[in-house]
Amino acid sequence: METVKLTIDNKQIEVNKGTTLLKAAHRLGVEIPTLCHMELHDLNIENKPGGCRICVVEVQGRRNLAPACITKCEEGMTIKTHNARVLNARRTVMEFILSDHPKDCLICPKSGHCDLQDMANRLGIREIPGHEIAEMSTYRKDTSPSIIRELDKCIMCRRCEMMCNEVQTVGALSAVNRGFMAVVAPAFEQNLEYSPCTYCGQCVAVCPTGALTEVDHTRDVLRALVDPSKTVVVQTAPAVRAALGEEFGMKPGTLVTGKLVAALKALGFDYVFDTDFAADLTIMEEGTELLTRLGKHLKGEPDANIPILTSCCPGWVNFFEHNYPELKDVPSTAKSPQQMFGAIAKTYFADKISVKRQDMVVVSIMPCLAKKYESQRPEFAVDGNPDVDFSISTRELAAFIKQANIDFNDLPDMDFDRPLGESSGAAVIFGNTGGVIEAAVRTAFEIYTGKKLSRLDFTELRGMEGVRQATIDFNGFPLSIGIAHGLGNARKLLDEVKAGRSKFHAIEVMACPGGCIGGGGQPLHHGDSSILKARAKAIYEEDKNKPIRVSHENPYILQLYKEFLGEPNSEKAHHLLHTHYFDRKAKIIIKK
Amino acid sequence: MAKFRMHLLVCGGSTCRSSESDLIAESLRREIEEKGLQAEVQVIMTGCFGLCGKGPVVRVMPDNAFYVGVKPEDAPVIVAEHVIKGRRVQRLLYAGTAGKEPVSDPKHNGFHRKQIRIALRNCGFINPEDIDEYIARDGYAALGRCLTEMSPAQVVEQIKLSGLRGRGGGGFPTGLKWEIASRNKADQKYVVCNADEGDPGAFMDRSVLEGDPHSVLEAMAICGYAIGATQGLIYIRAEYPLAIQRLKTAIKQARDYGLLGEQILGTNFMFDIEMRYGAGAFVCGEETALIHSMEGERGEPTNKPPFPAESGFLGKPTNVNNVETLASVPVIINKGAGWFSSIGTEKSKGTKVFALAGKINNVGLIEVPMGTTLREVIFEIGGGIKNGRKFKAVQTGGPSGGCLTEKHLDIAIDFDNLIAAGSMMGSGGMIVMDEDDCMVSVAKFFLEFTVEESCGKCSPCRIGNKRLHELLTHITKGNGTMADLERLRNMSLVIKDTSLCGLGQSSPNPVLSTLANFMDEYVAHVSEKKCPSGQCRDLMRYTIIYDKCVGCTACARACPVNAISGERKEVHFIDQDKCIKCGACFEKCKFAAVLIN
Amino acid sequence: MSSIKIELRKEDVDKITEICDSFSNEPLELINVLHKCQEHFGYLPAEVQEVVASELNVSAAKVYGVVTFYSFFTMKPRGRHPISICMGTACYVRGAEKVLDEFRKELAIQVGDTTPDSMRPGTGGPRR
Repeated sequence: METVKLTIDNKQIEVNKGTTLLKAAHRLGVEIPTLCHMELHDLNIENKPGGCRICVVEVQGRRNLAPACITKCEEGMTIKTHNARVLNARRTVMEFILSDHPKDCLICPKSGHCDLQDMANRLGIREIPGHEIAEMSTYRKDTSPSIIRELDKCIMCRRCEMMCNEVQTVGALSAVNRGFMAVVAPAFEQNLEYSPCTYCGQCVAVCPTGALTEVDHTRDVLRALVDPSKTVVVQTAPAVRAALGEEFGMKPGTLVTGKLVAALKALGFDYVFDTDFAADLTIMEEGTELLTRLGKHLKGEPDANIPILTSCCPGWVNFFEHNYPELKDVPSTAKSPQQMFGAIAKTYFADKISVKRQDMVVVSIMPCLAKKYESQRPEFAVDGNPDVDFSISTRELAAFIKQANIDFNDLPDMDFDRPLGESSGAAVIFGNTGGVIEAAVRTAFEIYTGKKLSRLDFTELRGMEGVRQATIDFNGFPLSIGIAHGLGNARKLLDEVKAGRSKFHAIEVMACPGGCIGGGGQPLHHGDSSILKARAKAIYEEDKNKPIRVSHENPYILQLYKEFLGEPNSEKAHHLLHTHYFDRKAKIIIKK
Repeated sequence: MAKFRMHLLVCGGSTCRSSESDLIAESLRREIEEKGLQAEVQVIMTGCFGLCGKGPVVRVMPDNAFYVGVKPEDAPVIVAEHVIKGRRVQRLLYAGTAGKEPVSDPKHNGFHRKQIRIALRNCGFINPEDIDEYIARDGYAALGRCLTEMSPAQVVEQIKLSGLRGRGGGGFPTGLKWEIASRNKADQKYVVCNADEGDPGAFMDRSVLEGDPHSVLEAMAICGYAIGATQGLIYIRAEYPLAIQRLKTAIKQARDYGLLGEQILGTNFMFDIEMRYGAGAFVCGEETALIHSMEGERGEPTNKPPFPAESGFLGKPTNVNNVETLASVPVIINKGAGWFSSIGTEKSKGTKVFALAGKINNVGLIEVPMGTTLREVIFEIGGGIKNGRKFKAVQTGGPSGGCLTEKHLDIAIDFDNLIAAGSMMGSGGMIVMDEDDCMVSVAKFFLEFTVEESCGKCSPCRIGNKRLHELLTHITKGNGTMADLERLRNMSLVIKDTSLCGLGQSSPNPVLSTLANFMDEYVAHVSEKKCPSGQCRDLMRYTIIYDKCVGCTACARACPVNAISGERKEVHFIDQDKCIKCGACFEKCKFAAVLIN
Repeated sequence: MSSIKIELRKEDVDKITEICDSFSNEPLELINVLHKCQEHFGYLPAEVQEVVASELNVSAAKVYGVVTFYSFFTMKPRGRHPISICMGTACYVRGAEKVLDEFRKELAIQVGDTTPDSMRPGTGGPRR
């Protein structure tokens, strides 16, 4: 590799050709502030429009300041990152940005987690000169089932646009308008509801300001908790326990399962259950469906619908409904764990504790924003009463715990309640990319072959690569598996399925890069992908430590089938635990 | 071609056509036919002559008589007097600057004397819709020479030696640009002609394309040969329908003649040209923005490097030159780099086309050698200031150029001198202002343009320019303070220093140059709350002169807001708090008793 | 997230498809396609943009992003008599703003608007 030598702030450094000034400076311990730039190294995601101009530095011999995030190191360069000219420019640019930004930090949902607020503080901005005559670019506020867009707070960093188009290939957002009114918005500046948005929430996850936030349901949850007539049941998704600790200053990758349960109990939930229970249930249903379809496929039956696609991820479901409606019979009909949980809680469990459906409120804690929309789908309600009443994100839960003045770090570890709190290790790994299919393989293998697995860790299914494939030996039958995380990667596999060229028997898709651990509702990673890796590692740790590691050995699952559902894929199971999909592609209607 | 004893050249540029020059040509033709002279005399619609402010223009060759302000009904007299009797029509002859004797031969008038036409060499001489006329004036000879006598490297070398620099604004050495593009290896490369002329009031590229489209096509083919590209693209504003139509005609003719397409002039060289249309975005003059626009994207610029020569259209090496630059290329090949570099100054060779506009007598298009002074351009070629008013400033370089003053008039115009003076060459707009123009308002006007045209990608340009415009408005309303002037300067410097592309890097120039040269006017606006030129409405004060008012009450009755009080036959009084400065009292007063200051 | 429904007359849909086809449904030709559509329809309503997006296989958001970037494209129908006022520098120093003001007063509309009888829209703005 060719290298170049340069001088940054009087320090010499030699770097590989092509290295940016930002990275070279970082190696010298010189931190140049950035705002629009964001890089998720392990996921190959980089946003570098060079638009905010906060990271400008002085390059000797150049007429203008250069943005460090995209300027490449050249031989013999002399760089000043913090001299008076640079500092003045940086502050003035920051004042420009703030002059077009609402000043309602007091009640902004991003307050305390806002990159812009941090930057204003870091640059020591104490006034915004001329703000009294400064016109602001203002836009209509848009509230969708999952995401709130308050574009007055958009600083045109373009991160959301990049996530939506390049990473997710959803195409809901684009830069629109020109000049002062330029902003990122859906087509015709319509509400997200009228766009192909999947509510994956990756735009929210990367938004540096309060322009994109989640719909906050903690107020509704609080109202249910104070209502004595309601029995409030809560379920928490696997990825939550691997990330929640970050909100309380813990190291990324700290598992807080026990404290999470304790916190939920302290908040006053009547029953604290685990979505993992429903994940085990999902494996029973989806695994059975896989084996059924595989059997048909091996017999050469035309309606085998192979490959089977997983259906746990609501962002992914939205994606294929919008983009591949012609394939809507290919995904598994199994509901997501969140919805299976709701369906079982409001039937089986409600009966058990003799609570009427209307008097039970099911709350889910999810790493995900699409779950909010999913819980509101009309097909997941009985007579208008939804199976899951409110879905709140990991971030919302953290804020809720803080409001309740609970010292999270000091909480004792507690156990989930029974019966819907017991789960296997297979269910925990649902939080990671590759986890659902690994869990399914564990169960399907043992059922298909009638043998016990000697090795439960299918490391060939793990990793951070966007598209992965592996072949598992099912007693001589090579089961071919594809995995994609990030919807852009999913699109690649989907195009093969559509063209009839897919070589896989089963494909797992998760909408978010990294899987649920990188979900749109998780604590903000601020562009640090090592956080995602640490969360993934914690999830596999939890699996390892579980006494039961395959779904079909979860005794409460077996009990559920015995007492209530009968067999996996039984008629009752179908009624409660399976769903169907819709064609949501934009349609041209001929006007008479 | 048939031989004619006389040619009547009628300007067919957009400006003259809008004054019915096509009807003039038609009437002339009819007259010629009626007199049975069609075998001797030919009427030709040409490209722009340059003297647009005096159009429509008709030129009679070989007599070189220059008729201005011609109307279709003048056709009979031109034919009867000049064509048949050989007597010039004195009444229509161009008179140079106002009041002087009509000049019979434009070689002797101030407008033409100091001009050298290289890029515009054929504009106004040939019929742009006839490839034969272009060929008759050495057209495509340069391409032939390149293909048969020179290696691509030699072509690049000639352009380098000529010292030609980009006429689109940046002034980057053209030969070097070609060399970089030629060095980058790729399976496909592109030659792009930037015809997205967006400076308000500038129309040199339009004139070249309308008057001499083949010169651009020939140059693109030469460039293609030099850098190893087989595909050319012309990015042109959709607002230039005549230029588009003439280019399309020219491309078709060149293809028919085997000057575009495969095996050009019997060699193995192939090259073809396609058109792409802009859609009204000034920023697309910036080459990376232009390339994104050609790719069907928003015309947002991207950071350079990588330069288009490395990664341009569809990621391939792309050489982008503007129209005027390209139009000079065939001449350089024909006459030699040495000839071209003998014209101009040390670092700026050749000529430059300017669009003269504003408070100047000869509004139009001129081409002068680099090194000509502003004084020569404004007072000799431009014929001085309109209505005998006093010169105040000249804005060069389009909306992001600077305003230069009296003390800059003897600067020899070239790329570097203009930058040193706080302005720039830009694409060659030149707007002259007189003592009635308020320089704060002028700066505000230019900022309004850049605010409108900013793409919105980078924060200093998107927000900073808006803030500059607001502050200038604040000042013209009389609400500014001295501290605001310092803020204006700091904001301007930072916007220049931090913006992503040339638009933001130059948009504060009008503010900085007016601050530097007309600080007194700014100070008058903020500290005395006065506009010295009387242009800022909010700073106007209408008062009644005690001695002149006869108490007729006409003003009080005209005032829409009842701001004027006073008894009949008594002196009236204007309440400044109520006055909305509509000027109704001033217009109504028969005794000149209302004073504006 | 209900699905989007676009209502258009058949001949309009056919015209758009024909235009897109003539550019081989190539996304690179988006701006040329939009030029042709505006030439045909006089303006670019959302419905037209949706069909263009689906024909060229790009997102409607992208098409809208392009339409709103270029001042030549308009989403408002134009009146019978478009009035353009040159606000170029040369015209400005000679009083173009006053001309514009007079039009504003006379027609009682703002730049970009159309009179209620849809006869006289103003298409002011820089350098037209």
